[in-house]
Amino acid sequence: MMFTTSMKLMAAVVLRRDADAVAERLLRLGVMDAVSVRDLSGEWDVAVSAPEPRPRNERVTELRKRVESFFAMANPPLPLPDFAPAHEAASDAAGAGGSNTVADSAVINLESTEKTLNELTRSMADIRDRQKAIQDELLKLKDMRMQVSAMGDLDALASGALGSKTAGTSSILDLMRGTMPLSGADGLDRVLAGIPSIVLRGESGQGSRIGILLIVMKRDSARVLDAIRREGWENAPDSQLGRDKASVMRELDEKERVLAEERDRRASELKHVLASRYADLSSAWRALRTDELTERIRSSFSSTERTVLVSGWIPDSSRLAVESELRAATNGKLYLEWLSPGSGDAKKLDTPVALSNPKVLKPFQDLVGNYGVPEYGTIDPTPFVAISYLCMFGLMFGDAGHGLVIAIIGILGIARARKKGAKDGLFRLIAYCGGAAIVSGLLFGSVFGHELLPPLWFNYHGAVTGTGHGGPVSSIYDILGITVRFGIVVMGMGMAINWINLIRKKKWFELVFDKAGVFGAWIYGAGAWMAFYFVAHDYKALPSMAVLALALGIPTLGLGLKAPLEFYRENRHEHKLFGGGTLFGFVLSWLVEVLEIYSGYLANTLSFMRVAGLGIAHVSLMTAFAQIAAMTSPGGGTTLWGVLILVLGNALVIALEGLSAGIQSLRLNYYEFFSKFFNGTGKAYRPISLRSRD
Amino acid sequence: MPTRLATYSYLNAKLKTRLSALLSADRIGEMARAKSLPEAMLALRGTRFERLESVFASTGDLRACEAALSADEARLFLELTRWVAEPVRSFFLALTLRFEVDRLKDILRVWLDGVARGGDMAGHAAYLEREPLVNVLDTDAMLVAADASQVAAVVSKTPYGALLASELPSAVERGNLFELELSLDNFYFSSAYAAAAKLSLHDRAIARRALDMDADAQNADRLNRFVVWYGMDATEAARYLLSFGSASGSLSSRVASMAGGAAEGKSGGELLRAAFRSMALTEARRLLGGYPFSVGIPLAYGTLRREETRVVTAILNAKYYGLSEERIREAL
Repeated sequence: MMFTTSMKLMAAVVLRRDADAVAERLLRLGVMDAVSVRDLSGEWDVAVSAPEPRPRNERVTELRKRVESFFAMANPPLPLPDFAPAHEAASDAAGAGGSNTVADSAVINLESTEKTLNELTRSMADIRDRQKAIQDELLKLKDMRMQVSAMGDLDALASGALGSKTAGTSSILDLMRGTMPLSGADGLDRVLAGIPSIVLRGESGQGSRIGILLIVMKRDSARVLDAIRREGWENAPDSQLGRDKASVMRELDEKERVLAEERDRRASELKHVLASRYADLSSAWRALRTDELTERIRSSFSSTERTVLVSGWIPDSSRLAVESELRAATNGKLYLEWLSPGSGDAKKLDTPVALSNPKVLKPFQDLVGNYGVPEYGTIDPTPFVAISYLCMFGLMFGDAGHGLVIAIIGILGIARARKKGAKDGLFRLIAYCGGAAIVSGLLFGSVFGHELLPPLWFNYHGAVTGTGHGGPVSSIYDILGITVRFGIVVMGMGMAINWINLIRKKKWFELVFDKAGVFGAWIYGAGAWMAFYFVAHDYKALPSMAVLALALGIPTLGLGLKAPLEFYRENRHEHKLFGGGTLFGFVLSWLVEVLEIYSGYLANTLSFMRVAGLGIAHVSLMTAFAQIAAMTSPGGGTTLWGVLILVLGNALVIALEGLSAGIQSLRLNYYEFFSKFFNGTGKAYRPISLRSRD
Repeated sequence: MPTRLATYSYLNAKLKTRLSALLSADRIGEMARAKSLPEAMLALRGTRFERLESVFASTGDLRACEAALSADEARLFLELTRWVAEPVRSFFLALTLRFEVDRLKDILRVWLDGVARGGDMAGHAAYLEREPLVNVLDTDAMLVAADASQVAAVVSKTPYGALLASELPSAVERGNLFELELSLDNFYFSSAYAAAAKLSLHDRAIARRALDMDADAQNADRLNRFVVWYGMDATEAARYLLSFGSASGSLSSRVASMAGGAAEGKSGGELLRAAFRSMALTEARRLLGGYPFSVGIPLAYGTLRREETRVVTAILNAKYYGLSEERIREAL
């Protein structure tokens, strides 16, 4: 956790027949960042060949993506299937007699998978077609509604004898009034199935017949009439049924509702179809993905006529597991060599960098990763970032109430992300920030912008508003002083990390002359001490000249040696001429370096005053909202407007200040802290595993 | 008159940002390669077309998706009017008339099919957009109108009232809207050219060139329709050409005869359309690379967005009808 994960370069020679089994085992373990053997040494170029890409690779990837698209089509999307953890898969394989193949998923029949997917596509198209048919009916009903609504009197529609258009009738609708035998009612439904129509049924008061009002489109009316006559329809133009337009509209509403429900039911069928095929699709996806990734590992192999050369970076902690798996996969017939970074053939390769932190620090590891990848073998800054980020956030956003709101938002976000199978890193960071704000709120006694609790450290509100006398911190200057000291600690920590990194890399020259090296830190420490000395003496006195010469003069002059020594180091074997220009160059680079250190460190330190600035802004905004709320009730007491202003004010401060504090904490870490030791030149460790998402 | 910088700096910065959101060639390729319509729609997630997927999922109706797209398209220049002052504002409103005219033509076609021909509207009315653009067109009132005079009366307070009153009755008698549609399109172009004439000298030249090219493209489209689909001869088809653009006047019959030819497996009309489309895209890219504070940027953006919509609509339809990737690429 303190340093980047220790790595070893594996170089193995196995028999060609065992290559697939080896690839599968390595995939299951998921710890190898593959390296082509030919990258290890140019000498291999003539002796080994890269494997030919299989023609089916593209098809496998295409099918895998197709399966994923089916998962994505479900609403909500179905999660990508998981693979069994490596140790389970390994024991499954062992339980199956120690076979060289892994589990079920490596066996794949592309034709059958494609056939399954095509069948699924067809089922989906059928569902959509059925939906479309219902939608068409619905749209036609909408046309009917439009026509019926436009008619003032429904009688105008009634032509009595169909087809004889009279003035005022609708050009697209026909209305019929008639009777049918009670026994013919089912027949009517059958005739009208799939035909846009409005049917009103009357009371069956005429013995064995029932009154019917029927509205259909003119296009359909002739065939409808023929069909219903066969069911016993008799015209009854004088019937009073449906004289009231509202009853017709109600029938139309009901019909549209039923159709819309039916259409929505069809839409949800798709979800059921996909859910019912999830197991099959998952199995296909696992097989395709395994095949694809195994091939990716295999493509990094190089081969001779009878052997295959396997190489890749493996975390030191996984070395034994890898060795044991490879021996099992090859029945012990392999040659295996482990190289340390920077030794032998591994010298030519960049060692990949893995950061290994507890899960609780993952959001901060992501913050580090966003900035860059640390150099291999250096300190992993994640734990330091976690501490400094949360301290900065707490100092800028010190309110227990607001912190609680943020923590709740973070926790809800985590629950939601987990439910959706999405990443929850950002929400965890938000929850942590909420926690930091709660702690600092308790230290400052602040809850929702009010001094509701006795402060455990000092009264931030009192210090800002000038009412907090007597405590250890009673003015804005005190707060600024705290944040400047905090900045000095953070920057000092950065320098210390830089020293450790340089010592581990045995870079002694840089240790002394780097901007964050011994001389740089000496100047910074002395400068900080001088500044506090100056402030402590009421801005009137500086340390004596002798002390100044010792504290600043020696390191400043010492930096003057950097350029000449560099010149000597770089040119000692080339006998480059030393001229007047060179000397001028030394002086110039010394001046620039000194200027950069003095001005840069001053700016870096003062930059931390933003921590105080945002904290003060937080208090000021809350005070302003409290005063505006108080103005709504000059006589005292609480008004609805006052409560509303306070609620909106708190919401605004939580949103704006929360975002600002989060961003500024990040900025201070990236630019003031990381710039002391982080060069971001590392190469990320990317093992090929079943969890790979690219 | 405000300076060019004041007129266009904000608008063009906004549009250039939006240009970066246009569909990439990769995304279009992904759609074309998709094995089915729902899979093609997945490729639209995260783009402005995203909602088509939910429209299609809830209705299974691709035409509803197209209607939604066309409604978005129609509002493009109308939305831009918020950020410009006169005379550019009036020019953008005039450009919006094009979509309004198209909408009016759609209403009249449905009305003619449903009412004047004694057929039914077969659900087409539901796809007509009701949200007003420049003038208020009461779609439902037009659709239930009993005759041509009632239709004209509904739009009597719009610029289309007089035109419909004089031409719709004869169109109903003839049973087609060819001449009325031509008059409506001519109305749009004359309005657009009139609005362009009020622009600054620099903008005027760009706007006229763009309108000429658009008129040419529309004429090519008309020729394709009349010669290839309706089997008219070149001279007859030339009667229905717009009186704007370079293909107007003496050139019209020559161009019309070209539309009747065929090459590379495509009709002359299709080739003409493709050629004009390609010219419009080239011109749009040229404008985008040129002086930034002119009406050229919004016009170029409009062209590229229209092309994007055309491509998406074409691919989705092709997927609906199960066309192969090769056929789709040819058609694009």
